[in-house]
Amino acid sequence: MCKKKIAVIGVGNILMGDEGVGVEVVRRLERLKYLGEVELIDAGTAFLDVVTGLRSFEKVIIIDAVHGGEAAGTVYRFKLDDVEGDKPAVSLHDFGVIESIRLERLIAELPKEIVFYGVEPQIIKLAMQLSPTVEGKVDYVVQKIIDELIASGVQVQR
Amino acid sequence: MATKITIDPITRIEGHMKIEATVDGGTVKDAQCAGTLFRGFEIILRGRDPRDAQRITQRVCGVCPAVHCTASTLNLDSAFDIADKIPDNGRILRNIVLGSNYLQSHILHFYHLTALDYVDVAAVAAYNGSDPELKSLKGFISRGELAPFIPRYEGDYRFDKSTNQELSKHYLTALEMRRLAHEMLTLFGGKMPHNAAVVPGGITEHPTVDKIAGFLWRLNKLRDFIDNTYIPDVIAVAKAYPEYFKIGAGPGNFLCYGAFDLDGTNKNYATRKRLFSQGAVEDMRNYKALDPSKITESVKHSWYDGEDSVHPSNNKTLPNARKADGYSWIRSPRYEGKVYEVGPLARWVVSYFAGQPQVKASLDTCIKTLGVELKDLNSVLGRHAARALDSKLVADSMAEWILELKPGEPVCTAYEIPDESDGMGIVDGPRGALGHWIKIKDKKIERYQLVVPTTWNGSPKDEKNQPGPMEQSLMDTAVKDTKNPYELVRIVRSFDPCLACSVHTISIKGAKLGAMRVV
Repeated sequence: MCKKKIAVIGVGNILMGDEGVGVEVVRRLERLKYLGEVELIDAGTAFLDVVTGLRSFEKVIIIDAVHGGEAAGTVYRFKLDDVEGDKPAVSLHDFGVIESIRLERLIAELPKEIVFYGVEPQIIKLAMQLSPTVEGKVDYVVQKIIDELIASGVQVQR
Repeated sequence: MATKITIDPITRIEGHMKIEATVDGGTVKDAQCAGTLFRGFEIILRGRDPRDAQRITQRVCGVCPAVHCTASTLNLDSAFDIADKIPDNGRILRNIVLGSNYLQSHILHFYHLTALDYVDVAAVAAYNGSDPELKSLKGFISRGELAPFIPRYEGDYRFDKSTNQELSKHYLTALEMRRLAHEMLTLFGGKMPHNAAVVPGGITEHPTVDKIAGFLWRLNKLRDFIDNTYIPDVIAVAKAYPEYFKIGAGPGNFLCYGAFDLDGTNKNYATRKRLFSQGAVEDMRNYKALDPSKITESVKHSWYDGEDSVHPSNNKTLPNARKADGYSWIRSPRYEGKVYEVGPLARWVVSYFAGQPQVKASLDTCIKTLGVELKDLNSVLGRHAARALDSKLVADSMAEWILELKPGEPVCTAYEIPDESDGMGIVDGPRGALGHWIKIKDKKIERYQLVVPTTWNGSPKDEKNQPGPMEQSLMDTAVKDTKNPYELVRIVRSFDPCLACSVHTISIKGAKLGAMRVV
């Protein structure tokens, strides 16, 4: 199978405040032009439906709200290997992003590199906008992803 | 002495739901089913362009975006007065989009949410052979990655080791099958997920010979899987756990809005010809035609202010978390003031009594094969069997519909947004009856209401103190071990509960993320 180069995937629910930060980052990235094989994906609330497409890419960047225990607005960058062995939360209410990727690994070869960008949320409740704290970090994350794309050989035009 | 059992959360995916069952003398004497998260998506829609409803309601849930998309567009078609003007290509492609969603949803439910209550996947840990899939699954288990998917409650497992291994393998095959169903939807849904193609007036994607061919080979693989793996596996579970035809009976009243429009010229959704028939069946025998004016919602035990027995089109969302009688964020939808179950079983019972010939033939064969009576289907296993039959009929029907498409002919009709109008969109999704209601004023949404399937099934008691369907299904169930109430988990799971809440935050518990912060 011929693999495309990079996918940038925003995950989250835009109706639930900071939960939607990943989708907002992808929406801003959609305003730029790219030379090179990049696919921007707004996975919304349906990451489980997107995960089966990961096998078509060499590298995947996933952006989501992440509860990592630091102050609201903290930006994290980590790889799948960094959370290997992490026991998911006791609750069973969701096929989380990481659990979905592990499920996908059962039936397909994963991309060589999976990078996560996470933003610690402040407010997760019914709202169609981000909190000011998280909103203030969106452009920073966008820039980090542009840097990451450039480093992978993609030309990005503003 | 009575023991109170709390199961929270109950769904493996998508949901914040809590069950409290009081067990006395070994059986359930009282059950309370509670939605634990406020959902007020209706509030977000107020004052917006009506067309936003299609985009926004799809985002309330990660599992059923396609059916919210269908219900919201039917709702807008009716509000824009074009419900009888959708071109055949548009009508058929909408059926194809919804049908593909049915298949992935049912397969996910049986294999990834239900099967592990009956199949001992731990048997794979002892596997020493060379089958690549079983080896892959063994590694998954040994790395501890299975943890989120196995039941929190130990089951009573009855299959032998090799059957457990074989059925566990199907868990993997089913992942691949879901992928195919998802690709089928993508062919005609445009942007995915949260498809953009299904719009008021029809659909924006044109059928082409290439897409039809790409759809058909995938569908045929799925049909083979449904006929030769899914249905036999459901039968295997039914034969190994036969008493589950006597466990988990709901109210015996079934409601179906119908699904898959076969005729686009009748603007009345309650009477237009659909693959599954609209209607209500009381006491597993009396069929009545569907009258949407008889749908009401009560809030007696819900954390909302307002009147009881109000039609959804007149309802307001007035949350009140301190309400004294409240125990759930779910309202109590009722039909003719009575408690009705919705979902695949309801769809099959209603269509059966409405005389839908394919449903009648198929359900009669099913009962004979399983050696049960029709009334036994009001049970845990009846719900699983109906879901499998549902998959087969929808898949087989799609194989015919896809050939009715006419490449080059219109897919969509034009419309104008009226200054003032009311609309209703009713359709059965994989989990059952879904209704959207809209009121438009000055070309904007003045009021929008959704009544989703899990609010029917997971509803709390109403003002007449009638328990909801899931609450009734738990009553009188024998619980062997109150610390390990797998019987109750199996009952609740058979309804495929799904509460649209959809928070998908990554939560890291073990690894130290502080070291990975970049700002």
